[in-house]
Amino acid sequence: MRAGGERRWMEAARRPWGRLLLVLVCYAALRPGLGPMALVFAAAVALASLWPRRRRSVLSGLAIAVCVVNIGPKWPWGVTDPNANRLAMRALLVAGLWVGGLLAWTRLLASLPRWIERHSLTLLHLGAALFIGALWGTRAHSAMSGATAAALCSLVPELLWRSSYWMKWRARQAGPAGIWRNLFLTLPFLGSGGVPFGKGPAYIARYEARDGNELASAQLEGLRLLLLALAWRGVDALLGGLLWGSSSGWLPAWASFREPVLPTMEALLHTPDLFELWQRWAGLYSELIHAILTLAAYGHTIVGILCLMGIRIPRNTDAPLLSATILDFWNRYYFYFKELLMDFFFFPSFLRTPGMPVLWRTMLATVAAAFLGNVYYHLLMCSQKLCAGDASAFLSLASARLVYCALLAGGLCFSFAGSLGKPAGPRKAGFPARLIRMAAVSTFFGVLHVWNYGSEDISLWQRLEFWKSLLTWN
Amino acid sequence: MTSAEDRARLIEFVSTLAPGRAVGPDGDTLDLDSLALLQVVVYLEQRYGVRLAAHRIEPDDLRSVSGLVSLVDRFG
Repeated sequence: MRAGGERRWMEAARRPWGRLLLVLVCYAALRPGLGPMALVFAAAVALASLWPRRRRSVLSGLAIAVCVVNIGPKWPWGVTDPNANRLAMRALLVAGLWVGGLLAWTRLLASLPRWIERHSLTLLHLGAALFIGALWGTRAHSAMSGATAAALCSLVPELLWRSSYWMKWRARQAGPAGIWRNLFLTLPFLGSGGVPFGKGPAYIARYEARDGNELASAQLEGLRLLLLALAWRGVDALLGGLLWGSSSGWLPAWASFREPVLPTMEALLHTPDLFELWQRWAGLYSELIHAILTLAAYGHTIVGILCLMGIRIPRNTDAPLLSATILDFWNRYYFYFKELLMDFFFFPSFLRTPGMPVLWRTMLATVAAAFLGNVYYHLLMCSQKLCAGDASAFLSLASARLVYCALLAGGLCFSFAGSLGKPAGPRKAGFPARLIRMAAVSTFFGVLHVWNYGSEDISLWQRLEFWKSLLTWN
Repeated sequence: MTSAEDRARLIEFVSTLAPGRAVGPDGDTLDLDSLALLQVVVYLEQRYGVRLAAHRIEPDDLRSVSGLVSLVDRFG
């Protein structure tokens, strides 16, 4: 029955009117989040539907257009802030030089000395660290404003991980690189935060539609994801309105309570003593649900756009609250971030220790990924505070994330130790037992989220005080 | 070239890691989690006595039957 329905939808998606409808729904679903840029994305989907073999070139053109609009100066020049536009021009120049350097490396790889080829990734990350250091030094000597240094520094995580996947792919490739058709994978045009959804060219190739049926199936999945993203945004707005009395463009004013039912995480962290124990716990769980809904809507939009273009990569967030183990939650919560840590830290560490017992190898690789790799990722994200000249903000954020990474690594080691030796795949458990496990896992991540929440305004001490208050009756 | 028996044994092993899914030698993308990937690595290391780090293996190489079979062909 379901397969028959899916087939009918796929047949409809292959017809001209079906494609037109698909593009219109895509525009309507993206419009609330992306504004006028939704039109550019819908046009790209239309072009990729008409010429599926040219989808990667369309994506590359789209990526350049979106980056220029997002990073570049705002027009008309005279009307907007000239200082902001000068900064935007510099940012565009830095991004252009970075990607240009990467493409030059791609072309010249065969003629480069062997040691450069072997250590390209290390050199790339060393170069990024030097660039951040140079920005910090230039600002410290008053040769650059803090805002400029911070803005240029914020480009580093956006470009670094994409470039890293690109280098990994290129190093294993014998033939020509196909630069233009893969260029979109080097540019931060979908989302922010530096995590590349769809990783690199090799990964994308595995999920690309090869015929009309696969394209229709991918596009239907894309549509499902965009509509799901809309639904999660709506649910999140409703949650915010009903629980915290917050208003948003997604919810009519009459639908939100005037008085918040629960304290926000911000209020809990600043003044935990003002609230009852049940309110602290309820606020903690509500914040976790809000974080999951936000991430799911964000991830579904990005993956949905790629699916509509004919690249059906796996979902980023997939019902993490149903997880019965910490490992499973981590896998389902932010898939592409977990993959980044797996690809660059976990797997290389695990492979380099073949003589050790499996349990020790796993623990070592988990610490390398969930702690060291995770800390490195977060330090890069926080480094713009340092470049802006706000060392105390950097320390406040970095120390909170350090605790977060240590606790996460501990939880994952515990989960791995419990899972090793047991058969892989989903385990059968009775409903009550599974429910208890799900609640325990969600509690772990809710409590953990305290250290990954918010800005530098919340000190390490305040986070710790809130933790203590979770175990204290008023 | 690896024997058909080696491939069959590998597919049988991978089937235990992805229960509920028909695994065939057609290059199907496997839905393997991190734990299952580790088990595949240990299986390959122990069965073929190879050091995978020396072969520039990526996790995604182990996530399809065709990728696994080509690895076994290299090591076998």
